[in-house]
Amino acid sequence: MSQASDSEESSTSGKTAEHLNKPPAVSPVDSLPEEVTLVIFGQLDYGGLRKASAVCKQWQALVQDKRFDAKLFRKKPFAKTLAKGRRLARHPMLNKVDCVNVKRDMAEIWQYWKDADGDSDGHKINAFTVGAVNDYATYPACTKMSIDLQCGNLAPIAIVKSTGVTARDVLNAVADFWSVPLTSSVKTRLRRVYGKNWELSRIDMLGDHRFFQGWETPVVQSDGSVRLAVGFYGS
Amino acid sequence: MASASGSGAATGGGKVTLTTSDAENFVVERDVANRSVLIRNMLEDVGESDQPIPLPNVSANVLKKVLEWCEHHKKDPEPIAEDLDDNRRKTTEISDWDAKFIQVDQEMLFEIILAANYLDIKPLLDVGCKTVANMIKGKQPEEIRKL
Repeated sequence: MSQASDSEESSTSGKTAEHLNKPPAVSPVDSLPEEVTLVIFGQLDYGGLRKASAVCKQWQALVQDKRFDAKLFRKKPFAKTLAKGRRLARHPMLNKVDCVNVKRDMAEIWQYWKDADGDSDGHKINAFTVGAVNDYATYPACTKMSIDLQCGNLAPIAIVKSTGVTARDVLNAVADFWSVPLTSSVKTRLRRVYGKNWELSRIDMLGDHRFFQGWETPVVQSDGSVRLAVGFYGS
Repeated sequence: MASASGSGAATGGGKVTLTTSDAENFVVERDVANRSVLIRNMLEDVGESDQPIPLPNVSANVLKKVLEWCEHHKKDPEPIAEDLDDNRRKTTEISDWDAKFIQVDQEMLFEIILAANYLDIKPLLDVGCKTVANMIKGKQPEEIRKL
């Protein structure tokens, strides 16, 4: 230990250990002028920009630039209505959450990456604890959305929010949808399939096809609302 | 219209002398030097002159590399007017030649980017920035800090 720190001690006054535990305030890439960093950021997608913003304070500040609002789903709803048939960009988080298993306080996202040895590693995070959940669900943001979970003949969920529908609004609406108690007639029908000990919920209406495969592209409807529908469920 | 009789830096087919920060001189075709908007503007400002153009922010090893790019791209058409919404601009692929050109160590990559920015060579700046963006995409924030 003393050997390793010899050279450090001569130049600094014991700040080394403390320094190592903290992310640096400035990344070496920050030797580039801001205008160049902004050009680099212009080449990044949503995930790349979120990552860049976690690198250092300077980058975090640069990612706030309004030129990235569209890509980061931060752009407020326009005053004018969206054109019918327009296909909107969907927030990338929505496809990462298993939308069949969303509850009001828990929406699981699995994150995978390769470590230095090339091994895959992963862990689970709760979407509701991530800042991105407060982003708008679509770009351009919308104020009226109808979410179709394609579950039996149940009506789509309608969300109306003048400040813009966020990813959190979508996840909460989905959680609420699944938590609605079954009607007695549906219950009776499902009892025959699942037996009397199974704790039935709306999810069981999906039968064997209950594996979320992702959302379809959101499309503006004739009434100006945006339809967000589940594509299909896998089995 | 300026007279075309001169043979100095300002004539279309003539040669231009560039002087680097470490006092090396490069003699290049005007077409090549014109890839740099900074140099082009300087040449237009000074008119016909044989005076070398000082580039105090670029060293010889970096300018050599930058001029290699300019030489290869000297016949490229002028870039069309800036796309206003550059945030939504298509991320175009880097050409094979450019991809090979930009395979340099990281220090040189950043030097090229800085030089392209200073010399105002937008397509070269884009190639460099795209390369760095690709580096960022494949890394975790902790790894990016070490770049």
